[in-house]
Amino acid sequence: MFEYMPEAIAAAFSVANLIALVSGTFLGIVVGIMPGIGPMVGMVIILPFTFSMAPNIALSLLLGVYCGGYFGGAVPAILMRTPGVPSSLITSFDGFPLTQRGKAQTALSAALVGSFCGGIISIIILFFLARFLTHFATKFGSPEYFAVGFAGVVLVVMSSRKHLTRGVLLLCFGLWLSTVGIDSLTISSRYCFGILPMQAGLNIVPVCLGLFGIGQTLLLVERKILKSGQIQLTQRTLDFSKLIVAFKYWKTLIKSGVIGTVLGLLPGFGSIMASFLSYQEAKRSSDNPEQFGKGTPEGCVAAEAGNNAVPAGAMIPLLTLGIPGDALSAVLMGVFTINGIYPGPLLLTKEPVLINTLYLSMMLINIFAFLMLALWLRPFAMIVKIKTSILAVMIMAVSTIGIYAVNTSIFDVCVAMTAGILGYIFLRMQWPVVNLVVGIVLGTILEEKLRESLSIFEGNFLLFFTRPIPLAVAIMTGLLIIFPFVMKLIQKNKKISNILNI
Amino acid sequence: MAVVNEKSSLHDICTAAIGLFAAIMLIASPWVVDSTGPVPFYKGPLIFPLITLTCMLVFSIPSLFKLFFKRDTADYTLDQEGFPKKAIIILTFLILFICGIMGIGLEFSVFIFISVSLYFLGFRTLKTVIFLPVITVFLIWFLFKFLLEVWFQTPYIFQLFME
Repeated sequence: MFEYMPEAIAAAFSVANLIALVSGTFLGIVVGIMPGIGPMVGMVIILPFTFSMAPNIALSLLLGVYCGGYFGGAVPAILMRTPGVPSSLITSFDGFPLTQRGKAQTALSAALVGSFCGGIISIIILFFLARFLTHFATKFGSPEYFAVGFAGVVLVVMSSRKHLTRGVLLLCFGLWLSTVGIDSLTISSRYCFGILPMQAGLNIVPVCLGLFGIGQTLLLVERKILKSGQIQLTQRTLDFSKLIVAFKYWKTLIKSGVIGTVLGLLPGFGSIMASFLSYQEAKRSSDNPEQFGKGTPEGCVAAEAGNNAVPAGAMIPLLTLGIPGDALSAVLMGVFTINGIYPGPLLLTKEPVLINTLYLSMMLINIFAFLMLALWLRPFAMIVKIKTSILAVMIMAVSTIGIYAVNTSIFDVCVAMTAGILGYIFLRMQWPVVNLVVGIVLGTILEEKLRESLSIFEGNFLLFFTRPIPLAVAIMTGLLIIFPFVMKLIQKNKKISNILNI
Repeated sequence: MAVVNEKSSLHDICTAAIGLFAAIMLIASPWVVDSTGPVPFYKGPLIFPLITLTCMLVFSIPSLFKLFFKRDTADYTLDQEGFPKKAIIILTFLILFICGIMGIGLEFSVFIFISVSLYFLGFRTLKTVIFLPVITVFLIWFLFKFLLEVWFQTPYIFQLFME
């Protein structure tokens, strides 16, 4: 288990990797602090630069932005009640009231300790669970893969069940887009309309750059300038005595870290749900639940530990099954495949040094992000004062050239433009754009495994249920679909019986 | 983030547009997908796209009905931000910027795009209209041309002079 650790330690602590980690984390914190930008935009901007790097360096840089973004998001949420990343909204429930009472240092310390511990706990879980799942996944054939992939798709849809139609439409649209190009099994052209570059299919990089790099920034130019005059931090650094105090909520830290990791590994749930459920659980089990929402450091600890555990959790299905659970891990999957590394059950046996380096890099990212924010809190907080529309214009220029730079292809730029327009429309209407990205990424895997399985079963779909793993996954998926509706029904019945009793 | 009117008919229009697109693709599939490959059907390239397109079509039907039969209760306001004039103009600048890269070269088009966009967005000081674009041009040149050695074609305007 640890035989590749010396090599991994050497790779993780190499100068190039450390530079990538520090710069990635720094950029992540910066984009996390800026409301509306976030780690996704940060990742897609630097994506074109990573193609010329060694895979471990590229992944360190991107993971730095990914994890650093969640650290940074808490700062404006606590100081201005404006979350840098959507999941930090939950942090603001208690963080902002603390700031209003002049206890911004306490809130920021609690959030930082929460982020740090959530991140570390999730990496430890990732380390052990990935090994266990890989051992399990080596027994998988095409039907099992399809069943797991399909369950992932169902979970993605269920996560947006409030607007089921929109969720399904975007997911299916993404799945259909994945079929554009030459079919790998029959070498036949699909939906290319005679356009030659379309035969290579739609690359995930221009699509993501378009959706988030252009679509999101177009939204930013419409946005009113943020009032950041209220930021008042007397100290440049965080007070270390307050940092230590936050550790007294160790039970909440562990629980939230575990909740965040579990929700991270389930496709579609994401960091908002992780943050919210961690917060609710902390409130439920707290000695002072009435303090939640009025300004308790425990609320900040729970919300941040929950959302910062998500990145490592999302890496579990990606590394073990090759199935990305969210848009951010879909981008990471793109980096893996561009470097000729295919995530899946064999990855841990084929690339043990790279994977161990990845674990260590994630640990280091958490340490660096913690230290950076603790030592340079005020300079980082002042980033909020940068006008987002100026930044949006610059991001658009860099993204557009970045898209061209990947393959020196104008066609990719056109794809990104179209994705940018669609991204703007969907983001403005608050449709779940993540479903579209997950659909594009999962589409190729799902189609391949479905057709292979149907070939094995000679076209009889029902034979899926004769194999234990697909049957178990189907039952679990069915229960997951039914569970929310049953819960709703029970609550409705309770309400009716309460009314009748009165 | 602006509060979106969940009952806005724009959601239905968008859903119906996707459904319509799916219907067109579904009808066109036999012609735009080369299905001369192996039989039986489940091995062929059509099965998966047909499943996804059918799902898209089925899920868009309620919105299509709403659009056609509940026109009197239609509400077209999405949020408080109104018509996206700024976004459309910046997008137009962006498209012109891409054409500009081929026409007048990377450096000139980056400078013009940033300075014109910032001027349009209301940032009209010397710092934002001149200095910031110059710094960005230098950064982009350094990152893409110097560091990554990305190839850009000779701009058309230069080709004219060369000829």
